Amino acid sequence: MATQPDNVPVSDEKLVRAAQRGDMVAFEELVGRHRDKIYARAFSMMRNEDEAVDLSQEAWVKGWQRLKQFQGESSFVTWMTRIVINLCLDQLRKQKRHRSESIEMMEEESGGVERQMPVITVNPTERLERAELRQRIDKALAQLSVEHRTVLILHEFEELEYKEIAKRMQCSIGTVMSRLFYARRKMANLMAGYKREELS
Amino acid sequence: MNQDQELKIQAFLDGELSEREARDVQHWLASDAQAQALVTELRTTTSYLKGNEAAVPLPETREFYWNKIQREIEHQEAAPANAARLPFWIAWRRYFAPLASVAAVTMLVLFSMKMNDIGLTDGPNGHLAEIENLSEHSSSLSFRSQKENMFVVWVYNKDQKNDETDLDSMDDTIVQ
Repeated sequence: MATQPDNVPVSDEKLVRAAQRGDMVAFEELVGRHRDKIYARAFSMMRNEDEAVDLSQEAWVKGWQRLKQFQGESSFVTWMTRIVINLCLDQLRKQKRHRSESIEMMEEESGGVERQMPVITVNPTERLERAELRQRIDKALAQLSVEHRTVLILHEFEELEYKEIAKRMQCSIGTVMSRLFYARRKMANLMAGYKREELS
Repeated sequence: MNQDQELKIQAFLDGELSEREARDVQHWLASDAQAQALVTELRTTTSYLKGNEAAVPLPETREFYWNKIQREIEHQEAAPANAARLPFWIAWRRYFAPLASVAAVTMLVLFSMKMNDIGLTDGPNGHLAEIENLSEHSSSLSFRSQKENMFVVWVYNKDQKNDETDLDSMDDTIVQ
C-alpha cells in the first residue's frame, strides 16, 4: 500500500481513502509517515516524553475511529495535529485542576515581570546556524509557563487565529492576546539572554 | 504605552484588526518611537519562531509504536461488540438467578428434613412445608409423602398469589 507499482509513493489522500474503507495497512502507513510530527507536537505542549508518546498514540486511535468524519478540508496531518492538540489541552486542563492557583497564574493576565522587560533592539538570532537556533528556541519554550507556551505554539506553529485559540483554550480572546503578547516578550528576552551568554 | 496599546500593536502585526483600526495604528506608530521599537521586537520574535520548531524524533521504533496503537484500536472495537451481547446474558440472568436460588433452597430443605425428620405440617399421608427463598417475586411449597415415596415442590409468583383464591383450598386438599 506504501508504493504504487512504478515505485511512486502513494499519496496521503489515497491512503486515507483506503483507511476509510477499513484498510488498516493503509492506516499503518499513515502512522509511519507522520508519527514524528504528531509526537513532536505532543512533546512541545507537554514537555514530557512518556505523556507525549501516550497522547500521540491516543490521537492515532481517535484518528482511526473518526476517519470517516475526515472530509479533506485540510491535509490529513493537519487534521491529526488538531486531534493531538485537543488531547494535550484536555490533559493540561486536568493537570491544572491539580495545581494550586499560583503566582504565575495571577501574573499572566497583568504581564508580571514581562511588563517590566526592556524592549529588545538587537536580533538575538543573528549569525546562528539553523540547528542552533532551533535548539535555543526549544530551550526558551521550555522555560515558558504552560499557558504562554501553548498559546505561542498554537499561534506561531499551528497558525491559528485568536478566535480559534480562544475556543480551544476555553478562554476569552482578550486572554489569548495578553498571553501571546507576554509569551513573545519573554521569548525575546530569553533569546537575548542566550546571546549575551554567548558573547560573554 | 498602556497595555491596550501594546495589544493593539500586536493584533495589528498579526492581521487581526479591521482595515480602519489598522490604519489608525499605522498613523499612531509613525510618530511613536517606543511603539516602533516594540513592533521591531515582536516582528523579530515572530520571524525566528516561524519554521524553526525543533524536530523531536519519536523515541520508539515504528513497529513498537504501531503495535500499541493497533492493540488499542482492536481492544476498543471489541468492547462495543461485547457490550452489545451483554443484554442477552443480563436477560437470562434474571431467570436463572431465582430458579437457581429455589433449587438450592429446596435441596437444603430436603437435606435438613431427611436429617432431622421435621416439618411444618405433618399429616398421616404426608408432610407440607413452606420454603423460604431469597427471591422477592417467587416462593415455593413442598410436599413429601413417605408412603407414596414422592416429593413435590410448587414454585409460584408471589404477586399473583392474592389473585389465585384457590391456592388455600389446594393446600387443604393436599394436607388432608
